[in-house]
Amino acid sequence: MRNTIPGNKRAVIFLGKVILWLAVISLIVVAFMSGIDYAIYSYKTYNISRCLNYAICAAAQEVDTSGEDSLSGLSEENVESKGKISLKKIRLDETKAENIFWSTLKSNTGIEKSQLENNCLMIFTYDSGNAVNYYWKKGGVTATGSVASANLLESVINNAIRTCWPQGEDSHVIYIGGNPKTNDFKSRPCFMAFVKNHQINGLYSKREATFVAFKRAKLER
Amino acid sequence: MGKIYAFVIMLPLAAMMLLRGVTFFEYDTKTRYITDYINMTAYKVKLTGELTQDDYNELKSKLNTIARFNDSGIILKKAKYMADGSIGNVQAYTIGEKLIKGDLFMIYVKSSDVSNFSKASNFGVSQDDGKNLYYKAKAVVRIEKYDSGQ
Repeated sequence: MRNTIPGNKRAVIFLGKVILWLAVISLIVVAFMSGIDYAIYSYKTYNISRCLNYAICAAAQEVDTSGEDSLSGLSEENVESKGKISLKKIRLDETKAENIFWSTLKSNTGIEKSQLENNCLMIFTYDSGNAVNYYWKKGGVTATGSVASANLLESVINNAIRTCWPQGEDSHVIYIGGNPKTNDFKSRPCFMAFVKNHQINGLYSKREATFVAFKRAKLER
Repeated sequence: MGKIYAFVIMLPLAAMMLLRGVTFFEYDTKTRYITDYINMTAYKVKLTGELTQDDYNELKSKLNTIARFNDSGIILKKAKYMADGSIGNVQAYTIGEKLIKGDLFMIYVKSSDVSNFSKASNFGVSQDDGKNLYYKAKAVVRIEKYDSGQ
């Protein structure tokens, strides 16, 4: 059959086909790039979460063996009336625990303290015998105090989060247990790290992620 | 003309993109598996204070289901924390050696094979090894096991 389509129309059709193919290729590229971008983000978050756990487990071993509180706590091995091992009045060496936390995290992930410390809230707690004492810090902001029982720490932690990230629209709430009996913060010293809005770079996008790591000290005498 | 243009330029371009995308996801998945295996081994050592020959063999056989890992590609180290909290005194770890509470155990793995993603990106194995991407993972853990006999 004789081609009756005029030359200028053929050019338009050709151009249309090129644009169509370009659109298809672009769609494939965008789909794959988005997938790759998210895969990088998800692997990085998984890795940081895993390594935060290593770091906090390492740091929670740093029991203070020089302070008066800890020495008296460590010397009281048993609660004679109950036949239980006493875990009260023992605290962590916060400075050393913090240094170990950062060095372990760096060796696992390569993340420097300076990159994360302004996004990391650290909470140390210990049972002083009559109350549960806490100390938290984020960057240069610190606070200390005490609560009557461990279940009251939940509001302390959440208030600290609100203090540290007052403008946070995506507020996070930490739950530490349904009641005093199921509370994870018990008599033994605890260390918790809460990392909020840590920027993670994907292939081209920048997302923020939040992590929580928690560890109770294992105490042996 | 449009069809020729599509077959000569567009389809190879799309195929190349597809290949790179697929090999990337393969690389990502394999790396996650390797990280998981390392994680499990490190966690076991964290709790027991020791990497036994059986554990090592199990790890090696699992890793070799993903890529080729030889003994020189599985590096085991031990270390201690210094007074300032930094990591120091790094030494080679011997399989079966018992570590005490507070010691550090480090495991690094690197495959002997270059990843398919790297091959797809560099059109084969690059002469410049810095451009080659291997399957790698590492874990650094502190021993928790307390041995009252030590």
